[in-house]
Amino acid sequence: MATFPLVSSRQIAMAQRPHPLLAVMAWELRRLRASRATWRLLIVAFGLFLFVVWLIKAPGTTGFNDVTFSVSVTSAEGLVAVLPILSFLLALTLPFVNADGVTRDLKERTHELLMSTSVPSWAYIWGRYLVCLLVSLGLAVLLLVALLLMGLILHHTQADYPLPQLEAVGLIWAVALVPTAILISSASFALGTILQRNSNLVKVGMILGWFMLGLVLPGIPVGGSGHVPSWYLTWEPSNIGMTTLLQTPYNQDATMILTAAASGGSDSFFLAALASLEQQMPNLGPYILPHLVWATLGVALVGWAALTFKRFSNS
Amino acid sequence: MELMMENLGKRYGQHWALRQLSLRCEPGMLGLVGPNGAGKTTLMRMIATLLEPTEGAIYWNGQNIRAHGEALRQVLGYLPQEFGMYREFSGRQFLRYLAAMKGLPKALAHRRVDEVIELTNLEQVADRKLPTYSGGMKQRLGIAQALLNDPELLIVDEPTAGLDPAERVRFRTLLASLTSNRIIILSTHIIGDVEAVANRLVILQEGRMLADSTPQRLQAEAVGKVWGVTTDQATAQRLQTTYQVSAFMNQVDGVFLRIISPTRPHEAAQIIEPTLEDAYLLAVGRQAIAA
Repeated sequence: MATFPLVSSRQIAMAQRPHPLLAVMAWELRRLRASRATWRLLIVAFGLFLFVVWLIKAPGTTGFNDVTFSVSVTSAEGLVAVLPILSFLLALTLPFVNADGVTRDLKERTHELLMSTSVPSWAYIWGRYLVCLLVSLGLAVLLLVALLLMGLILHHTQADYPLPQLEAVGLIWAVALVPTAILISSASFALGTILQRNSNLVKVGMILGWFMLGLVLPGIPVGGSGHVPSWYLTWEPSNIGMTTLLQTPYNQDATMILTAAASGGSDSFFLAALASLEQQMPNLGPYILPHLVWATLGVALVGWAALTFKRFSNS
Repeated sequence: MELMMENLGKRYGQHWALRQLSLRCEPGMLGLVGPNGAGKTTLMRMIATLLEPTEGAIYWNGQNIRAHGEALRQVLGYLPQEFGMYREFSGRQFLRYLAAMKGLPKALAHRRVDEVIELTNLEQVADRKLPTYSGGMKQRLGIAQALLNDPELLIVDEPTAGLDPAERVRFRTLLASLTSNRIIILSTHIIGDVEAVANRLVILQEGRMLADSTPQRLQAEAVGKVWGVTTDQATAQRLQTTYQVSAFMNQVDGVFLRIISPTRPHEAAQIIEPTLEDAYLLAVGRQAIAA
């Protein structure tokens, strides 16, 4: 080790400091890019998404005489039907990307090195969060790509499979799945940061919580009526309620088509009517605000985590 | 430049890891020694703004670091006793990352990283991925990151652990060259490290300050209390159970013992020049006997 003098602190103070938030984000992105685990995750997730989309390629079938009509997953009706499954895919993967955003430093014992630097706590938390969010949105985009790619493959390999409805798929994805990704990403990151030593519990809790919101809570009779109130179905974030409500008009129209077909309609009329029905855009309007509110609540939870983050520990 | 601690204490549950510690540090090197569990790491973590004191306060240039931690962190270099590194990075990338977290502008960070890599003799391995580093290389990288921002306050906890003897000497020389116009707090088990470079010595035991002195003064206090004797194996073992022995060396003509005792431990024992290690053992042993 040579012993020549170092650059003085004054020089550092005088030189222009980088923006701390941008510095945290830039280096976190560099770290992710350099990590093989990131690329493995993206490849595995894309493979999983493709496989699941292939499994659910025809989420509904209707029969008339000897003719059967299958709804395609890349149509408006088909995508609405599988929203809960796609949301659950996000709930299954995103907590693992986000819950360790800050906790990782504790596990890898880099926490003390970082916390003794001058990086402000807010920049550290928000920088890490924004990168986690970016990865989460990247996974949501990957899900969209998997949907469209599988739709195209099916269209070219199966004679009666329609071309993916680009506009409808994009819109439903943007209204239902992007806010869901933001909510799961934000809540996992925030809870993982607040409960630093229990981040694995947070991951499990997020997945179980998703089940509770979408499947268990609607099964509990409210107000003695035995029915789930419609406001709950509109507002619950797992998209199960949204699917339940949006499928009703499709089912009613399909019943009408069947009735018309039974009273003298031809097979081709039946097929054409159902093909037209599956491409009808649902009314997404009532679900935009609830999804935005949930996404905002998720981001607010991150804000709370950043405010309560303690550099000083007690142990 | 001044670091002050006033009645500092840290309690974990019912156990006080540190109690009523008051210290005032000015530029120079303070060696912090003490047995395991004495409270050294607790004290260093509190100064590095990582651990909240249960009582008392720490002041950096008159400002309580509880409220003004940012001011201290701007000029702090800290090497923890145990630390991890990102497996994805090379040594150079990891240093550049920490330089960015310390707020160094890019051009300066690059220059500075090159400097500390040279200072810590890591040029040959700087671009290798961190999982390929040996323990000694990791330790040198830890030292390098602590120097990145040319700190006014440098806290190093067991910095020479894992270094080979040549690296340890180099590191001591490096530390000695940095003492002007900065406060260095060096915690170590290796008394030789303190002896070589510290101008002040604080001994902690069971969370309390046992001594705040200079190595020379502490050594002077031990004069007349360190004895040397060459004897047979059986006598040596008997003496070892009765007295505090700082060295037990097998030689051709028997066993040579360095014994710390206020009275002559054996009729053949001769008073010898105390080392700092003898003086340290005398101080710590006196306290243990009093307890």
